[in-house]
Amino acid sequence: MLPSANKHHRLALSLMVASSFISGCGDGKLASSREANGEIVSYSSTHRLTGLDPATSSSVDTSIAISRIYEGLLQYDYLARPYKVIPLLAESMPEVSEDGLVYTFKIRKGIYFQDDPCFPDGKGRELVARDFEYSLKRLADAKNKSPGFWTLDGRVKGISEFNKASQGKEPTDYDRPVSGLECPDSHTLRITLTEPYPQLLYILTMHYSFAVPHEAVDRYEVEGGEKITNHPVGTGPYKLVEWRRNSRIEFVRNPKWAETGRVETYPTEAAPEFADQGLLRDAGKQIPFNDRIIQYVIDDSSTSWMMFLSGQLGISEISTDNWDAVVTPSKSLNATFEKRGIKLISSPYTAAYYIGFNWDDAVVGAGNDPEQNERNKKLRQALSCAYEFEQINTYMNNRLYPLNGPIPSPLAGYLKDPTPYDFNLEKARRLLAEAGYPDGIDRETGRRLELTIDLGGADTSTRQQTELFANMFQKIGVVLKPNYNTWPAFTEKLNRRQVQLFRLAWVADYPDAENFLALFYGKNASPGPNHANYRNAEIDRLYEKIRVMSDSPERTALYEQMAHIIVEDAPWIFQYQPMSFAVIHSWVENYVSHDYPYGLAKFQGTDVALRKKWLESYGNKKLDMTGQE
Amino acid sequence: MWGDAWRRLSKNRLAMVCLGLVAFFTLLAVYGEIVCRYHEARDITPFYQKTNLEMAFQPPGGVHWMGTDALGRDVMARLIQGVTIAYKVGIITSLIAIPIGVFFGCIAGYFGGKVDDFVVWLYSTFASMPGLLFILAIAMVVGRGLLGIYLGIGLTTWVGICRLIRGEVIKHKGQTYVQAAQALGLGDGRIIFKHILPNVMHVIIVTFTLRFPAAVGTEVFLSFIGIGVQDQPSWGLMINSARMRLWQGMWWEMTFVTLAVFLLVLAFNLLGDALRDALDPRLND
Amino acid sequence: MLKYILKRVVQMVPTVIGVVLLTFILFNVVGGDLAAIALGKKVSLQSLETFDEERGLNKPLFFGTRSTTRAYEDQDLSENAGRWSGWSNAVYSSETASVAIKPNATIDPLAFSLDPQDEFEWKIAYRGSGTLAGRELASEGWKTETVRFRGAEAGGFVAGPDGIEIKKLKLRKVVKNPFDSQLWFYVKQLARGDMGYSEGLKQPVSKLLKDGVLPSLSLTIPIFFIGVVVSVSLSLICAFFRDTFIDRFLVMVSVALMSINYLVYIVAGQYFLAYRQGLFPVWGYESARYLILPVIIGVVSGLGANIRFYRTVMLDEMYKDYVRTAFAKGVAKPRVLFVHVLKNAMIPIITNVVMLIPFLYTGSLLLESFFGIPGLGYLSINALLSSDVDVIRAIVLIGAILFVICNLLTDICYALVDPRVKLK
Repeated sequence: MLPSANKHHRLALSLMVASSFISGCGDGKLASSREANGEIVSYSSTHRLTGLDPATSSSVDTSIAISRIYEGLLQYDYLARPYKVIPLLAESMPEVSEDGLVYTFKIRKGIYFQDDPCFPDGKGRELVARDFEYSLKRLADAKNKSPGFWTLDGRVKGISEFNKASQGKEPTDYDRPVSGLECPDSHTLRITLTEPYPQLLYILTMHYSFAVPHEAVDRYEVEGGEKITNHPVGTGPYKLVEWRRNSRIEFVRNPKWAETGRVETYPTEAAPEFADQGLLRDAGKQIPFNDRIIQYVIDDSSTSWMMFLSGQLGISEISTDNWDAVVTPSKSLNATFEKRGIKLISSPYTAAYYIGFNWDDAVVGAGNDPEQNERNKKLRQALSCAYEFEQINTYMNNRLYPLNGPIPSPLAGYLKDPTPYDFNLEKARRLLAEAGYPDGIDRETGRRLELTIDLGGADTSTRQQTELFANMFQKIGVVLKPNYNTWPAFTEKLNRRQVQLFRLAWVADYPDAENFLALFYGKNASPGPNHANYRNAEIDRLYEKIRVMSDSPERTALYEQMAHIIVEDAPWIFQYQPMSFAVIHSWVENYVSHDYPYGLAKFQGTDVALRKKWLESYGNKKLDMTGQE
Repeated sequence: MWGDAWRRLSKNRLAMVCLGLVAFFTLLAVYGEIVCRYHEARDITPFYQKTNLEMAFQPPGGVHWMGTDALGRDVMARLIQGVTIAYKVGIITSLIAIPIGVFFGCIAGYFGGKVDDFVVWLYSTFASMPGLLFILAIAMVVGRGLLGIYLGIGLTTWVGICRLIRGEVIKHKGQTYVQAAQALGLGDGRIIFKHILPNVMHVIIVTFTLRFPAAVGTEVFLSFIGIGVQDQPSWGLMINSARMRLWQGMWWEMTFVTLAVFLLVLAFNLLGDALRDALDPRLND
Repeated sequence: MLKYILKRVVQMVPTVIGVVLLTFILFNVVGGDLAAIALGKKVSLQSLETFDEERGLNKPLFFGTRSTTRAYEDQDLSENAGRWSGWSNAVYSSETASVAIKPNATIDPLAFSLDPQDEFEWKIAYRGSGTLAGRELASEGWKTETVRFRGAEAGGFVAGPDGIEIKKLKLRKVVKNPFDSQLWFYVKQLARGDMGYSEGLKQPVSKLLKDGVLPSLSLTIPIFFIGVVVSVSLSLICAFFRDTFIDRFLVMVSVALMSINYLVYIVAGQYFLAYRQGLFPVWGYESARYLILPVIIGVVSGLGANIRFYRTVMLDEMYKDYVRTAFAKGVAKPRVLFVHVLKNAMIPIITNVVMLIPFLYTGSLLLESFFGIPGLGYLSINALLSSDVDVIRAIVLIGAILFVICNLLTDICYALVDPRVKLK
């Protein structure tokens, strides 16, 4: 699960890449084109990578970086919509037993790890099924404190026992078998589950399950060692060249692919809208197209914007400040940008932005007795009614959608109609009075009710949005005090349940509403992802029921039923669902926005000649910040 | 001595202009504090915090003399609150740093010997710390907010004044009036604080004037990077949000805030120089 | 001479001790729960304890025979039930501010199993009966007792037939060597040259420092040298045209330069010079060209204060007798200025300059973070914003020690130039 910070950081991730343009090339051509072209283009993000170890790292950016180096059994189809899972290191989709409990994967032959000193003679060896068994066990190793253990915990047979056994002080014994992870032969992996797990295929596209060779862990994960998180060794299209913390990371094409004759190709089928856009031009050609990827950390949005406008970055998000210069009120691109071949890309983004209430808090939480509970519920509902979506939307240049309940569209189960606690000041005041705070006055102190909200950042956008919230609440007489934290301090407070209100977002891990409903499951309370620490026996019961169900109308009906209960209890103020907008230069090829973009950068390319031409014509005629020449 | 100094100062036209500016800023700061206190006592949200997105980014004009910011708030009203914060930082950090510095400086200079050795050791230790980083480290340990700023700046900047006072006190110790007081059997505390201290007062005043703008500058920096003031209109926060739209033509917030910082710092710096010349030309260094 | 140097080196020792003590006090004593600050994500008490263990934080601060452990953290039962809220067989009452364990119930309040090698102590205020860590407790009224046990034994409660009530409960580890404290641990760590480990970046701090120092120096050394040359030259011009329009103009300009906020230079420089004019790259650290703009901004922003300082030095020198004599003998003004005054003013200038050297290594916080230069300044800002305590502590400490060393070097230089200094 990838909790997002408070920015639209997927926008920032929307890729930009580069180097030599290669079309369907053989080995010789590959080498020469690389020599001919030392050109480097890059993309930027404001978020720091936390590490490159599939087992111990999380966050969206980190996941994208890890997926360049490591690979898993499955991946998403780049151009199919709705999203579809296809094999990557598996030969084909797994064979599933009738009861849905046993998955058998055939692993592809001829897949090699990159060369690395951890292997004998420094030569990368062939990938085998044991590597997956080992890598999945690493998630369960208590010493790794893996943020991805939830993907297997209680689901794979015997994995929890392995986790228990690894808790002691002595080194974890990886030879200890896990009954649900077996390798009948060198290239077959059998996963046995305790209960049906319809999301397993999605889970196996996530970076947590990617193959890590035990040689690398044995060599780098020792006392005083370099740590696997700093020294990745994978099978993927790229390998790490250099990583300067907080500032720059560089990847280069993994030469092992050419050496071992591994061929991966661009998809030959696409959703109709993509086919129309010419995204099948490279169909069947060998990937990856770009030789080198450089990713920068640029904190300042105006800096990265200048770099985009001068052609140093191929793709950029559009900050609220630059919006008016780029996009016309009818949401099309400004003419000066169009003239330069810049394209505007927009797509809905499956994520929920919310303000959570801590259920353990005496004022906004569950309360000690039923009466208190009811009053606190009224207070939460009152605050939900005081939240004015349109204000935040205006602030964000009208690029948001209202979020009706806990499930964002287009996932099955989302509520199409506004909730009963949509913006309505009258109702808010009434509910507030019923909660025992007429006009916001707290009877105990005789002053206005004061609530605190914790935030995981202190940047301008976070501050200004928080000031807008404070104003919305102020209208019904409630004072909101902000507490701006660093991201680590914020997560720490969440985990210790020391917050009252907090602002957070949840980016979908896979296209199934179960991923969002898990945020309301009592057993997932902090330090789990249910940071509101919401507890409702009925929701828990329903969640346990739906989580073993496959997609069906009955399941969707249950999703909706759960959503209604949650809306009524109001453990969150459902803020919004963003639309992601990005601008890309003409030379960026095959760019598609994808909700689960991990590992998909390998399909993108760069038209170097076009870029050169562009720089010649516009390199010295830069637009000013209002979009004029 | 004070009369002479005033005469010298009043002849310096530039210094008088600066004094006027400082007085003006002081009035603004007092006004800002009263406004803030008034709203707190009445339990209402102050007008400079109220947002109105329909009024966002209004250029300077009849109603809003300095325009409005990204959330439609009056820049001038917030700027004045910024003066209050700047003054609070300038004064409170002085209230921390100057007493510490004066106390240690006096006892070191007066008693000499072991006491002096200890004080010299203490201030050489503090002086060795890398300035801004040390302040940041203190602010990090104490936590975000004004308290971190007060302690960070206050606890690191007492060294300079301690050194100056120590030197002055050593000079005065040898003088006859001190020896006379000692001969009369007056207590050490009384001699230090009643007799010597008034004679080194000018050092304190000059130091205060000169460290004030430095403290304000540091506050602006700390708030700018996000560990300073949290939910009040500080200049650092205003600059940080204003620069985002500066080149899109919304020049007013950035211009007026940086101008205010510039004028405040300039006025204090020039006044400090003039005071130093007027009070004690020897201090010129 | 050697004797003098030796004396100064010895005098340096207390300052170094002071610096070490000060960083220790700031981070270990005032700093609060470093483990909680540093370990952001889902953390168990066990991993906090591991963090403490690695950094020696579970020892007494300076000296002591007992230390705390996270297996049972101190809590005040008069405030709330705290960790006693979840148990089904223990009831908290806010009236008596105590927890009552039901008759014959078994409860182990330890969050994780203790190190079997160590010895521990429960301090308990109770009434009723039962056993704690295998020792019998029985009392009608409130009674305070200390129960000592080995980490290998079970440390929990078994309530008696009437139950047992607890008012106060504390767990302490018995420290074998009372001098084995956090301070001693810190000193030992420093003596090994170990600067700690960055929890945020998963790298030893010494490696981070090594990686960051070159970019920092590549920025600050040019700023430093160009800054000194330009400002000394300008201050000579001031001295040459003393009390004329040029002098006053330069002084005014330097005061103005000093008062303009640093941010203004950066924001304007980046937009106009780098973006609009395309003279320099907007951001990054790929080649020397990327450094030109930050260096210019660094020099300009430091110019004001430097000119003022050097001008004062020059003018002080010009009032001295030898200068008057030289003028009286009819030596040309430029010659007096550039040969005699400059030569003599060199001592205070060099002193000032040498004292600036330690600050070079930390780079410039703002310049580095704005222009993406991966130096120590940028590292510090990032460490600060992610509460990476070990990194900040190491940078502060090294900065301070460099300062002490430079101080020593200036004094020695002084003594070489002017033998009278030694006598003081």
